[in-house]
Amino acid sequence: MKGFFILFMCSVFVSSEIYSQNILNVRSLSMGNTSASSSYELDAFNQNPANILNQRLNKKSAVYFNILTNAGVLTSSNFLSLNFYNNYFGEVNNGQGRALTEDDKQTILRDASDQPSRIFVSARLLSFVLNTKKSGSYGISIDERFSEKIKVSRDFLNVGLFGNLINSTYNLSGSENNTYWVRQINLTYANSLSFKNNKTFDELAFGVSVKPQLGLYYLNTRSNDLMVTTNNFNQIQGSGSAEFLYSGLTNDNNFKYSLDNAGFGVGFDAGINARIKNVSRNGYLNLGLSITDIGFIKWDKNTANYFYDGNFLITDITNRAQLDSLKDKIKATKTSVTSFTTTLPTTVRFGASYKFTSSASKSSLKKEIATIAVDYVQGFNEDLGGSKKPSGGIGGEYNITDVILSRIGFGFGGLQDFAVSLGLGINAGPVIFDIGTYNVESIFKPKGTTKFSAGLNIKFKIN
Amino acid sequence: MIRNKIIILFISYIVCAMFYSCEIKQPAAPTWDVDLQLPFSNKSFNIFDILKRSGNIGYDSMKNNLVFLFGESKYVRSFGEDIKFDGLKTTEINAPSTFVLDTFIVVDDSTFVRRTEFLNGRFNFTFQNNSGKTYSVNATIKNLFNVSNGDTARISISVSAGGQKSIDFDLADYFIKNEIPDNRLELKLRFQSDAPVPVSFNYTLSDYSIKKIDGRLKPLSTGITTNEVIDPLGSDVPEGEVHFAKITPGRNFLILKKYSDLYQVDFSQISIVGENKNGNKVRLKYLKNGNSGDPVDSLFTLTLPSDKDSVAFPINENNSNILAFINNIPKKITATRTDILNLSYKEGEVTYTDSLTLNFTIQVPLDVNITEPIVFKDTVDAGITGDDQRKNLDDVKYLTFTFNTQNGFPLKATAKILILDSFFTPLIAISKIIGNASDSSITVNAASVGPDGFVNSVNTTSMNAELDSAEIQKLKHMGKIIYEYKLYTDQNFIPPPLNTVKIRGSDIIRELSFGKIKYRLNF
Repeated sequence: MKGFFILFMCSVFVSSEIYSQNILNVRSLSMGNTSASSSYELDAFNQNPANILNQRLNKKSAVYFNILTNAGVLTSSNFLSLNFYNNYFGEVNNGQGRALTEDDKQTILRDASDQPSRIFVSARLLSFVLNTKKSGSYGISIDERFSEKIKVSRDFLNVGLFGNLINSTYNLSGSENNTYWVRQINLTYANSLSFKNNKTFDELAFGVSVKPQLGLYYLNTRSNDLMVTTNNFNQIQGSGSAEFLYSGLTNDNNFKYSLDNAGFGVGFDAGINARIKNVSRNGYLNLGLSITDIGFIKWDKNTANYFYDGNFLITDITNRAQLDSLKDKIKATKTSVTSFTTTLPTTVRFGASYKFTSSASKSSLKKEIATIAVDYVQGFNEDLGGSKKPSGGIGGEYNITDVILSRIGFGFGGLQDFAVSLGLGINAGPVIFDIGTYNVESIFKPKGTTKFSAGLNIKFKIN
Repeated sequence: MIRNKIIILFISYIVCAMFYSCEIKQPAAPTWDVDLQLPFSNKSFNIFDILKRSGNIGYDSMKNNLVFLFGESKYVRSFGEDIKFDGLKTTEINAPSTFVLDTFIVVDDSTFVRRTEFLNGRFNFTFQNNSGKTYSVNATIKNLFNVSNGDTARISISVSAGGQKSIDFDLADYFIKNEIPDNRLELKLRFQSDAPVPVSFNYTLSDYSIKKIDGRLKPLSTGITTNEVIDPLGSDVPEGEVHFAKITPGRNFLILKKYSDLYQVDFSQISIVGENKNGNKVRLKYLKNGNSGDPVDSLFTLTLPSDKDSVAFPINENNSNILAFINNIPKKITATRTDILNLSYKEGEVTYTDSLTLNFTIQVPLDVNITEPIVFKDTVDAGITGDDQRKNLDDVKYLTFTFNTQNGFPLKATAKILILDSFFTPLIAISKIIGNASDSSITVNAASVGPDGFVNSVNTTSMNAELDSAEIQKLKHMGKIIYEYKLYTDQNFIPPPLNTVKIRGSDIIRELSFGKIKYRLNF
C-alpha cells in the first residue's frame, strides 16, 4: 500500500495541470500560481495558449512532449489530511477499522461539518509542442479530468456519528455532491509578432486553443432542502426533497472507463503575451492575458433526474407500510430528461513578469538570472468545479546554477486563502524536471496539511 | 557541476524523507456506535376499532358523541299456503233419475267471497248406478269457473247400469266468482234415463289453500311462525358482563308492517327471546295488547289495522323489560307468533304472496358498567422481512424503551403485548418485561370521569424496560404483534352517585412505545 501511495504521490508531483483555476503547472505552482505571462511550452496548455512558444532564454528546442507521465490529484479541504485519514479511516490491525471513541466522533464532527472537500484528479495522456521557425508553435494535449466536491452538513454528520435526539430538528440541506469527469483534447496554435518600430512593444505572442470536450460523467446536486425533525415520542418526520441531475456512460451510476462519451462540447482558449520595449538593458518585462474554457458540454446520454422525496413520517418502525414507504423514497424517483448543457469554468488570467538577465552585449549571450511574476485570476462560473472567488499570486524564480533553479511564491484567495509556495527546477539536458508545491505545509507537515499540493513534472525536449 | 550534483542529491534526500514519513495505512472503514431514538410502535384504538366497526355502532353528535349500539331483528313471513280452509266431508244425495236438482253447497259458514282463487284443493263428485238402466248426468257449478277459458265448471257423463263414475275438479284450475259476497257454490244437476231409476251421488271438498280471496273473510289463523336473527347487534358486540344504564329514548320499537292492502292482522301470542353467548335466555316482556296500561307479559298481541301499512309500538323501560333484555347481550333473538287475519271481520282481500314483517329495533347508548371485561385483540404484521434486516440486529447492542399508554377510555385496561413469529410462535411477551406480572400483563388505570359520566382527562402511564441481547436476537424472527386488551369499569374512577360511564366516539386508548437502541455501525 505504501508503495502504491508513493507512486501515487509521485504522479501528483508529475501533475502540471490539475485544476485550471488554481493549479497552473509545477513551475507556476511553486511561484504562487502565476502563469499568465511567465509559463513555458507544455505547461502553458489551458493557462495561456500564447505561451506554448515561450521557452527559457537561449535554451530553445524544436519539440517538447510527454506521454503518460503527467497525472495528479489534489485535495482541498479544511480537515481532510493524511493524519485525518490514518486516524479514522486507516487499518488498525488485521484489516479492522478503528472503533471510533466519543472523542473521535466529536473531533470529526467539529472538523468536517459543513466543510466542502474537493478532489481533483487529472491525467495527461499525451502532450506535444512543435516549434517551427516560420509558422509558430503547434500543440496538442489530451487530458482526463475528474472533479468531485462533497459537503456534509453538520446535522447530517451529527446524526451519522451520534444518532438522533428527541425534540430536535436536523437540517440536511447543506449536504451536496457534485461530480464530473471530462476528457479534453486541446489543439493549440501560437505565434508572435515583432514590432521593430513600435515604441511600446518589442514582441507580441498570441495563441488560441480549440478544445473538444468529451463528457464521461456528470452528477450535480440541483437542490436539497431535506429536513428531519423528531419529537418527544421519538417519531421522525422528514420534509423537503433532494434532486440530482445525472448523465453518464452507464445508466446505473456505476463508473466504467471507456473511450465512449456521454456528452460532447467544445471549449476555446485565447491569450496574448507582450514584451515591453526598453524597460531595462538587463531584463525583460512581459504582460500576459488569457481567457480559458469558453464553451459548453451538452450531455445527452443516460440523462436523468433523481428525485428524493423527503416527506415521510415514521411513528412505528414495526409498521411495514411505513417502512416500505420510506424505502421507496430512499430509492429515489428516476425520471429521464432531455439533454442538458453545462458551461465550462471560464477563467480570465492577467499577469506580469520581469526577467532579470546577465549584462551581455548580445542578447544571444544573455542568461536568465531571476524572474518575478504576478497574476490575477478570476473565474466566471462554478460549473465543472469552477469558482468565482478571485485569486492572485506573486512569485519569483532564481537560477542558482545554469541547471538548478529555485522558486518561491505567495498565493492569495481562491480555494486557499493564503499559501506559501516553494519549488525547484532541474534542466538536465533533454529531460526537464520541475518539483514544487503551492502550499509549503505539504513539505513540512505532509501528514497534517489539509491542502496538500505538490508537483513533479517530467518532460522531454528535442532540439 | 559538482555543486549541481550536491544540490540534486540533497533535494532527492528531502523528497524521499518526506514521502517515507508519509505513512499511509490500508483503508478500513471505522466502526462506531450510534444511539438511535426510534418509535417502536404507535397504536391507538377507539370503540369502533374494538367493535370492529360492525355497522351496528354509531355516535350521537348532539349528545357529546355518545356512542350507541343498535340492532334490528326483522322477521318476515309470506303467507304462501298458510291461508287454509277446511274442506267438506262426503255428503250423500239420493234422487230419482228424472230429477232436476238446483241446489248449493255452503263452502264456509262465515266466509263470503266475491272471488276466490285456489292454490290447491280438490272438489269431487261420485255418481253411482245401482239399477239395471243407464242414466246420464249434466251438471253445472254456476259460480265456479275455469281459470284458462273462463267457462263454467260442468259435468256431463253417463253412468252405466251397476256402475260408478267419479268427477274430480282440481281447484287450482278454477276460481269462484260472485256478484255479491257469498259462501256457497251454486249447483244444478239434471239426470236423464230411458226409464226412471234411483240415482245416488256424493261430493267431497278437500282442505284447500287459497291464492287470493276477496270478500269478508272469517277471522283466520295462519298458524304459528318462528324466526330467529343471529347477531342482532352485530357480530362483535362486547362480550362480557355489560350493564347498560338506559336505552336511547325514542329509538326502540316493535314495528308491524304489511305489504299490501289486506285485512287487519293481529300478531298474536308474540314471544321474543334473546339468548346470549352462554345460552342464557331472557324473554322480552311487553304490554299484553300493546296498549298503554296493559300489564306486561312475555306473550303479547299487537294489531295492525287494515287501513294502515305499518304501526310502531314504542319500547321503553316503563312498558317493557328492555334493559334486562339488552343487558343479556343477545347473540340470537327468536320471535314466535301467530298471525290472525281479519279479526275485525270486514271485507277485504288477501293473496298468498302478501307478507308481514315484525321489526324489533334496539338502540342503547354506551352508558355502561362493565363488570366482566370485554376483550379486544388486534394482530398486526410487523417487523423483519429480509435477511439483511435480521443481520442488522446483530449490531444492536442494547435496547431500552418506554411504554407509554394514554388511556382516554373511562375503562380500566389490562393489556398484553406479544411478539410472535410469522407462524404465531410466541417470541417475547413485551408486557411481561414491562410489567413483570405473572400473567404477562400490564394494568392501565381508567381515565377519570366527570359528573356527567364522560371522560374529563386522559390517564397516562409510562413504564420503562430494557431488552438484553438474547431478547434482541429473538426480534429477528418477529412477524406479528398481538395487542390484547381487557377493558372494564373501575368503580374507584367513577364519581358517585354514578355507577356507569359514558363512552364517546372520540375516546381512544393510545399506546406508544419508543426508545433508544445502541447500534454498531459496521460497514
